[in-house]
Amino acid sequence: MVASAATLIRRHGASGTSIDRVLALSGAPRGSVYHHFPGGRSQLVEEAVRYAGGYVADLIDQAATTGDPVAVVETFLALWREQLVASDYRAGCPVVAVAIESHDDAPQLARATREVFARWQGQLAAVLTGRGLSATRAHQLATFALAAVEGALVLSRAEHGTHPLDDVGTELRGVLRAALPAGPEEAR
Amino acid sequence: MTGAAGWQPTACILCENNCGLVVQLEGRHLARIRGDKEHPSSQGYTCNKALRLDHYQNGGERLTTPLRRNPDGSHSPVDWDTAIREVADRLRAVRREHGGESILFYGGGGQGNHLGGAYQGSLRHAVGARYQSNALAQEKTGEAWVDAHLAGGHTVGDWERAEVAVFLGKNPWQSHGVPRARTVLQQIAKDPARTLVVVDPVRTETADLADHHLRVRPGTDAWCLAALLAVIVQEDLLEHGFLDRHTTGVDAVLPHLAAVDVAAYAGVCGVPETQLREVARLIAGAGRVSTYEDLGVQHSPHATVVSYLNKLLWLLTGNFAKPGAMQRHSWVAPLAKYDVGVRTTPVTGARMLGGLVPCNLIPDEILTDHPRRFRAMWVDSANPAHSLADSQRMREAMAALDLVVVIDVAMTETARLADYVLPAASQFEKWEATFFTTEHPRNVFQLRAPLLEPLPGTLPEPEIYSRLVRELGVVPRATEALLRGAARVGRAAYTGAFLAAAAVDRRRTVGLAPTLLYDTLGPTLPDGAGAAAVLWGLALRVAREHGPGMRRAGRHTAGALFEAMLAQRHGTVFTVDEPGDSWPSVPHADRRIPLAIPELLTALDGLGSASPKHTSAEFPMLLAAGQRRSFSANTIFRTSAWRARDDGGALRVSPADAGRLGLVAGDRARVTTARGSAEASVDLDDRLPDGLAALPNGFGLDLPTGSGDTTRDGVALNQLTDGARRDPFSGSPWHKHVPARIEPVAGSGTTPGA
Repeated sequence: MVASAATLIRRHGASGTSIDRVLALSGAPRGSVYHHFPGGRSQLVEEAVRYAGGYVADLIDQAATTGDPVAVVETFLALWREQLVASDYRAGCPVVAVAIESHDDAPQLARATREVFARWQGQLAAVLTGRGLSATRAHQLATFALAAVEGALVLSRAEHGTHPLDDVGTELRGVLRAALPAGPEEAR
Repeated sequence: MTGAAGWQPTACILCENNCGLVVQLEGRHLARIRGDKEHPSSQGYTCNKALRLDHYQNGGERLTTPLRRNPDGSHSPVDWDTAIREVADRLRAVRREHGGESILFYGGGGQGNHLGGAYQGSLRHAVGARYQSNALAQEKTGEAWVDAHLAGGHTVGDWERAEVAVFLGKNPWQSHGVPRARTVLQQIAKDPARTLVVVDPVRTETADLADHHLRVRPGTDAWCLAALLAVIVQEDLLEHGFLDRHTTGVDAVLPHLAAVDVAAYAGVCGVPETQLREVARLIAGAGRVSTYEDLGVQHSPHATVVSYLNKLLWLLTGNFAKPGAMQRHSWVAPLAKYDVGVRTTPVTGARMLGGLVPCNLIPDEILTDHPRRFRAMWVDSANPAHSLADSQRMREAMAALDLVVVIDVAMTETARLADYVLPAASQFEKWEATFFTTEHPRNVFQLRAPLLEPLPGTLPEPEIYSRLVRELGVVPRATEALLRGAARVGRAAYTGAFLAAAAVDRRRTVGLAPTLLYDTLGPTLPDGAGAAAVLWGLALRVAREHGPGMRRAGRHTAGALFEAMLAQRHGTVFTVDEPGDSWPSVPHADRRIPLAIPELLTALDGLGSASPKHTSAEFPMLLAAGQRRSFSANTIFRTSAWRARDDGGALRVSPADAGRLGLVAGDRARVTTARGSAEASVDLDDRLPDGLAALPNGFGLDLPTGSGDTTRDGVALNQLTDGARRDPFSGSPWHKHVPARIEPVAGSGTTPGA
């Protein structure tokens, strides 16, 4: 049910993700919603955000074992590119989808998106500091990379093509490589 | 990559040390061969055998076209497209009728021929196979299982720094296993502060150098080791600090050793009790002890118990994870699965230690009407009809299969039984890699560039597997397109695309990873090194599993390691391990080593009442089937011309046995066992104890005469061995302990072989 909710949020945003739609997609019985999610729709959305956040964070962790910040950003980019193309440019990042809406009645959603973004940024920043960058510079570059990729995802969805993601990828590679200490062994 | 004066780097492919070589070519001949001083591990060292490798490249009769078996058992050439299409169809048919798990994959590389075998994984995934085996499953899986229980993975000694070096059933002088073996052995022997201990019934060349040769009776190693440990326990020579801090369950182990009657066990193994006590005290008192067990014990009775006792010897004395002692180590890819919980085989329910079907069980898994029996066998760079115990029965089993496919460079004994034979390029005609990577502390990997173009008609294995997987129609097109696009952008982009694809469709992306990499990353690699694509995944593995060691070796990212592997043709130090690295590798709770393995402790107790005697009035001698000698090697030399001496592979017997049997050197003798009979010429060898005879490994091939038939080169040992005599835990055969009868052959001119 949580995975179905995340899929719907990516396509329709948080406000467009109703309990009815989640039930239709997941095939779960109606009674199970309030059994598993006593907090109702906002709890389901929050868990979907945390689920998506964890899925991407696991992937970033895998990429982080390469020790290469560029590979981490490339993995993040490639995941969204693949999802975007597979959905015919209809599905974006569910965390962004929730973050850009206002949740005056559900402050836990803003908190969840903030925590997920902070986690992704922290993972990338850790790889950058592992390569010798200062904590401040690493944090700034991680913010820059995350903002650029998420922005490119929005543009690519609007444009119905991957050029924004590709362009941002090219520029990010250059920026990150330039920021890293020179390593003669590094390839492209 | 031609170096100074045309010397090109490559490596020896005859044993797992894979010494670096440089070679000068003349035409297609390896005209001059030297040890490669630039190789980080072997540093110019080789033994005599490496210098004969032109006999591998040019000595045998090569296959130059795919072959299909005719109803009468002969083979006819078919073109590659036909072979790939028909083999794929036949595999599909077996899968449809009996399921992919009925296809047994055997082999996947020889001593340096592993890079191609790595691509076999994609075919296994494509056909839904679940069972594999290779030679490790008749040698090393018992030890691997013991290692899995204890330190959690493979362990190696630190030979450069060990104060006491112990070799159990291991003669590194001839069989290596230790980098620069002869140099290292001589260094230990010359140094008065260091001690060499050898446990072996044979007075080997290594035993000649030893300070202590514990000359056990054949097959009694378990009693000898139990007695050594009993002395350590009974005299309280244990390293209590280590045991308290780093282990659990010691109290469950010690009573079993405290109960051992040292004098009685000394009597069984034939080593004087005083010598056993002296060596036990020496090992317990030394600060840095390394041990090495090999086929001498692993192909003998109680092999898995011996392995356990060997490891208790260094654990109870605290010789783990410190300089000069035993270590966990990095590797590019582990050779076997180090799991305590193991799967079982489909028919007999035998345990698959190391994740492999025990070789000795393969015929039993085929010659039955059990519905889950194996129906097909895929053999890659291996010769099971010759190399597994009881060849007659193995051949019967292969004949009962619906489909046998063999990939090899020559018409081997196994290929003759195959429905399809696919000819591979030789190890010097394609990109290859040395793969054992068990060196400590500087662990070395070497990618080898081809010295020669492939012989026309042959293909390298990665290309064969790629074509087959494509023909089977299982390649996910969208993923492939994505990866091709990313590969054009760059390696980091490729990394991202691959990890993302694996996150979205893990089963297929990981299952087909080898050929996916070959097809998408491969074309972008320099110098046509497409077959090295799988190293990209292995570099990621090294970064994930051995990051600190990789960084100590100067590689800060997986990508940088991959580039170094591609570029450094004399070999790459891919990790610099430190003793402290061993602890994070221990997979158990609190990083403590659980010492008790209950079923092996029960087996240890059983030694007290077990008889070490397996000979009989009918078979009063023991045969060591597979002695490593100066001119014996694995069977990739398909010619006898490489041997400067011992051309026929003599049967060696002790002078006293020869006298008793009425034999003199040069006589012909007949060796008969419960399973077969063979003739060999006799040589006298005072290194052997009375009652033990020895035949060399690597003989008994059926070599083409040039006139259409074949002639057998020496004794095919597995006509004599018995798959039913095997270790109860691992299923490994007792090749060093085959009860036999030896008789003079009257006259001469008798046909060799059975």
